Amino acid sequence: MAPGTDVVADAISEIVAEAGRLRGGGRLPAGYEDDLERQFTSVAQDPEALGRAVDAGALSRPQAYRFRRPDGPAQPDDRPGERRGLGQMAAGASRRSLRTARGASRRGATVARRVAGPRLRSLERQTLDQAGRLAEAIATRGQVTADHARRLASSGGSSGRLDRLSPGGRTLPAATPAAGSPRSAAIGSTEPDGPAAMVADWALERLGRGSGGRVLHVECAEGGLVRRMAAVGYEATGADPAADTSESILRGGALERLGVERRSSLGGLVLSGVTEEVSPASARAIAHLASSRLRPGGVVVIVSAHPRRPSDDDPITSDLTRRRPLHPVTWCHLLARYGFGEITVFDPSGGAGGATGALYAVAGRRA
Amino acid sequence: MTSRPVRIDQVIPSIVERDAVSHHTLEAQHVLRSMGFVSEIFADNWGPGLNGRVHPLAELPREPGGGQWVCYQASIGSPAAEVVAAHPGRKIVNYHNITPAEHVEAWMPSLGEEVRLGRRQLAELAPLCELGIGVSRYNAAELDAWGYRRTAVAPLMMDLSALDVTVDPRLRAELEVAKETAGSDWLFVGQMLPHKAHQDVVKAFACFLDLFDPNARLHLVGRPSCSPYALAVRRFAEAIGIAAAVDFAGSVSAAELSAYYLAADVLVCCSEHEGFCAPLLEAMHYGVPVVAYGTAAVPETVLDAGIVLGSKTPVLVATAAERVLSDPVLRAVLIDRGRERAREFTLEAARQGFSDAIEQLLATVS
Repeated sequence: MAPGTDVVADAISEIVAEAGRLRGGGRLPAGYEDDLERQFTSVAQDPEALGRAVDAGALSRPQAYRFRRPDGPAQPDDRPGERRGLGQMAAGASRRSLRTARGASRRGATVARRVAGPRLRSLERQTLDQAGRLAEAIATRGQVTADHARRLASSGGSSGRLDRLSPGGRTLPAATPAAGSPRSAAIGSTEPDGPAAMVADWALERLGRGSGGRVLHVECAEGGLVRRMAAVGYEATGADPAADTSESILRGGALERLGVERRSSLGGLVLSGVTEEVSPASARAIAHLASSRLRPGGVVVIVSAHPRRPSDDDPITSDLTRRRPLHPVTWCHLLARYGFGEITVFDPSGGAGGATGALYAVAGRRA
Repeated sequence: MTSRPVRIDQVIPSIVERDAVSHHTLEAQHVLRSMGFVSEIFADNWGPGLNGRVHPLAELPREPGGGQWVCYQASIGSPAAEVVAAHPGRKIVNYHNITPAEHVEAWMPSLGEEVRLGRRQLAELAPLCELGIGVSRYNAAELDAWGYRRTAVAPLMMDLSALDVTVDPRLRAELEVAKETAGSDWLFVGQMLPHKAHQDVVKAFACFLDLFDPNARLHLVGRPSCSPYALAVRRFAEAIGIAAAVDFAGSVSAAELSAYYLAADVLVCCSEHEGFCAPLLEAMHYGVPVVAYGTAAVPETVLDAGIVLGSKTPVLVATAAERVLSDPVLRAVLIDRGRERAREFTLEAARQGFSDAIEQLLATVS
């Protein structure tokens, strides 16, 4: 069709002309369009309105690590590491609980077969499934409890539950955080700054890549990140041992809070604070908990202080010291092992270290 | 002299359900197998629903002697590209477009790095590949610019008929009630990412409210993939006093998406960059007229079946939407042409396009 004869092309020409008339016709205030642009720019650059600073230059290059998932399912209690005192007892209790639960399930199944015969086979299968899940939960909780015990012991705290677990347990030496490093829970403060603000921004962006659904921030401090998540539409909940109780922030043991979540019930999970004082065995339990509580496509973000030391470049020697923050590569391996893909590390310093590199974050998507 | 390969395997960084590139890859496997090739999909990550259909990338065979070719589905930077580059077999890149970093990095520095890596990897793959297939002419032109010695265009293998699902009755009823009360419904569908320029749709909509229809509604459907940006758009709507008229619908099910398309009076797209823009065709499929800013691949996707504008100033976009809503002749023409245009993108036609591109390559190199 020749130019000028097509109804759509003609309409576009007329639309352009009409828009010009409207602009100059006094129906809109002078500078109307410029004012709209100015208002968006103002919002986009207002860190208070957004809860963040839009500063690309300050956010350096993330490093990306990707690992192939290993064959076969990972076990939460495989290759337990060294345990002493309170931790050893708690871990032992978890193994005993696991054996007891498995034994009970086998005995129950045998009785069911003898007494009830084939009509109760389906009930038997259900019993086995439930017993298996119970055993797994007990084992996982045991690993977490072991580290919780160490943390409380090293900080001088105690609880009736721990006394029962370990009467007379000795106090272990306190962890040695990197000098001047902020605790990773700072990302949940009301007004995070420096690397905590950058990591919080990055965590929000990563969660946005998830499959939606409820989001939990474990050890959420003042709940700043929880409120930001809620502001952009997430059903967000936080848990922190010291937090003020409110509708969206729950007081109580943070990992215990995660433990009571239903399987595959979360769309997103942020872990901070608790990630810094774990043994390799307990880190496996955390990765397992995260994997089992997230639904497929869900995103986990692990935030931790960086174990920067003279041996910083060697994750193996850095990480075998118990109860220190883990190296990001270790979290990458753990996430890959427990069914996460698209694993990415964010170092706010871009590898330069210093105060900006005191925190890091690792994110992964549940396959 | 090159003999016909026995197998053409595909490599993709990540493959999941309900994703356009992933669906395309599964369809490509179907086409390659129907052409007589052994064809498997290898990925770094895959969704649980694809267990058994996808193999770990580490298991990609490396058959000597030219019997194996590899087709890389490129849409983001990934170590998978390096696996393809190092593979001894002949290589094909199927390019779905990677948004240039400048459109996203101010809001998402990490994504900026990923797309920058992806575009660099595509340039590095150019001398190693026999063929680059773009899902649009725009994409093929980018491949040409990177130095691919042969390029072809084969559309995205998408099944528009899959949109004809049961409509969400509750949402449909809500939208219908609002429409009967007063006002028209604007729609934009796309993840809330900076290069989709939702803020420009909101600006145009604000202008439309001021100039033409104070009772209109804007529905922004799409996952808030960049939270700070999504929050900024929401705050912007609040700041200019139109938040009550803007529906931030977020990620929706197929049944809900269908309800939004059925209720829409016009689809307005102000994206800064699109490699294809499937929602434009989806809208046409539903008989929703399109007003779009003519950037990147948008003009060739729409052709003359929509109002494609050379700029996206709020007054111009608002005026275009008003014309589409108030001119029954123009509206009827756009709906007819849109449906016709959408019919050109049948799954069968797209499969044939992909098959032809492969056959032509084999004829050339044999």
